[in-house]
Amino acid sequence: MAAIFASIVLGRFVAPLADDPALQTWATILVSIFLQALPFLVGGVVISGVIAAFVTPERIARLLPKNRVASVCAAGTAGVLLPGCECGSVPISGRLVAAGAVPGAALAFMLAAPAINPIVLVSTAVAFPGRFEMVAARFGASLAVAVIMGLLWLRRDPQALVDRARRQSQVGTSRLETFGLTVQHDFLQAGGFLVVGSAAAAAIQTFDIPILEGDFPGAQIIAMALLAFVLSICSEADAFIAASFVDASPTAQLTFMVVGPAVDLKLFAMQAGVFGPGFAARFAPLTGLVAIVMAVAFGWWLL
Amino acid sequence: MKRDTEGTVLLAVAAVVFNLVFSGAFQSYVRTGLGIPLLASAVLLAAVGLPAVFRRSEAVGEETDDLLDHENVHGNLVGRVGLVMLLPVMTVFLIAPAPLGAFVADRGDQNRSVSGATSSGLPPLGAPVDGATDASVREFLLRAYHAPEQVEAVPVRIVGFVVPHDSLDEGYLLTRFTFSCCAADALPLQIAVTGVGTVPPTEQWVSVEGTWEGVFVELEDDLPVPVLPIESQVPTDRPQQPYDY
Repeated sequence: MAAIFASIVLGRFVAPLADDPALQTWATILVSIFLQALPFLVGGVVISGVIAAFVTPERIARLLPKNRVASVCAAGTAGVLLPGCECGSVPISGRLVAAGAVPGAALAFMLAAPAINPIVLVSTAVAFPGRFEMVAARFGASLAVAVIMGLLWLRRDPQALVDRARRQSQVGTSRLETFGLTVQHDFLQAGGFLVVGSAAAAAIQTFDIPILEGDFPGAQIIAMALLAFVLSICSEADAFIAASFVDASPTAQLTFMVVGPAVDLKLFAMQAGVFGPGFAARFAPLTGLVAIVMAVAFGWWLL
Repeated sequence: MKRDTEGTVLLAVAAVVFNLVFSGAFQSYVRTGLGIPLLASAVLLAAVGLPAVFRRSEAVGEETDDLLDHENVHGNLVGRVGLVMLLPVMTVFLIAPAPLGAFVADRGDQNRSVSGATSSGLPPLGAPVDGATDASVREFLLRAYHAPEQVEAVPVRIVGFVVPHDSLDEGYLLTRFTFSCCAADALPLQIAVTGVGTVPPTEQWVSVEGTWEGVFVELEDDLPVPVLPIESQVPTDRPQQPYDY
């Protein structure tokens, strides 16, 4: 009820502003990110619902290697199997942790899936015609980031992550109910933070906030990394955007594609929701740093 | 957040998506092909949200305790963030944002998406109808930059919207946005149209007919933009899919 009254009041005040071109543009970009992400988000929370309802810790243990380092590598490589973008992989990795996966392995999967799945690789190949080395460099750098971050988090506060993920368990009286409750909970949680991140990204795009116009070595790479962070573009589209920066060096373009799916505004907000703000505050900057280093390394090697 | 409130938010999201897909308005934001996945998502959200709304009214007792507990553990921030999902829902109903227009079109970056390398040869344009060949802004620009012989001295008919430009006094930039995913990654595509007499109002959609003579004009320090002298211009409605991808 309160929401209905609020919307009537809002309508009184918002309606006159609705023709403002800046507000219109912000709204268009917000709604477009939301709609673009929605099918992927729903697909992701359906998978997390299935994990919560049907996947037992024993089954996870059977799937992943016993050795913790090997399990991180296996989980990172398994990212190839999830054809989606980053919006779906955050809730899935939360459910994997709750179902008993080593947190480092779940995080490696979360970082790898949106960057190295077949759809993303094909769209990268299409965006960079005839430059297969760009696809190879993206695959290599992103997988390296995922595995490195997963290995780093083998030692850091795994128990806190597990506890937090378990607290969010939604247990119903039947498997179907558990599935429904999990879908509902994860959709609202991941989706809410997705909207927060998209609203911020849309504002930055609308007001054309200059990111960085420095003139020092590596300025272009840092500028492209920051751009990837604030634009929060879906990983299936980012190759086309990277390719459209014709003035940027190939390594700077690669940096854009390696940083974006691993860490951006909307992912930061979603990770804060699933794993806690403290985790996101430590995990995201380090991921960004590792992503830049890996992109430069693979760019130097392959491009 | 209570379970029935959560269900209501899911239903609200499903309703707004149904509305956007069935009215076709979703094409103001994303590719036409996303319609089916959006519809499937809305069906699933409605299927999960409906029982949540009804179950709540049947059994209250135990669930309430359970939920209170759950909320305490969670903290208010995370528990309530789902309500933020109403922001895009409200935005669609209250602002009904239009496709991207002149506000972002004159930022530069125009034609950056078509001037780079192309993967393959460009197929020839279709046969002329009523004395002119139909081409989209994108189809025309790709050929102007990469295969000029295909569009030079060929009468063409192109649909786009009007964006005025200071250095074109008897003309404007015929504009459409292209994107690869959604309006968030859109880039403007522009043709400098000249010889129009009066410039139509900004953001008016028009269908123009003209013949390109191979001339480019450099606007600011951006890319050269092809100049299309036109013989006729007719106001038209905005296409169902306003983006040209």
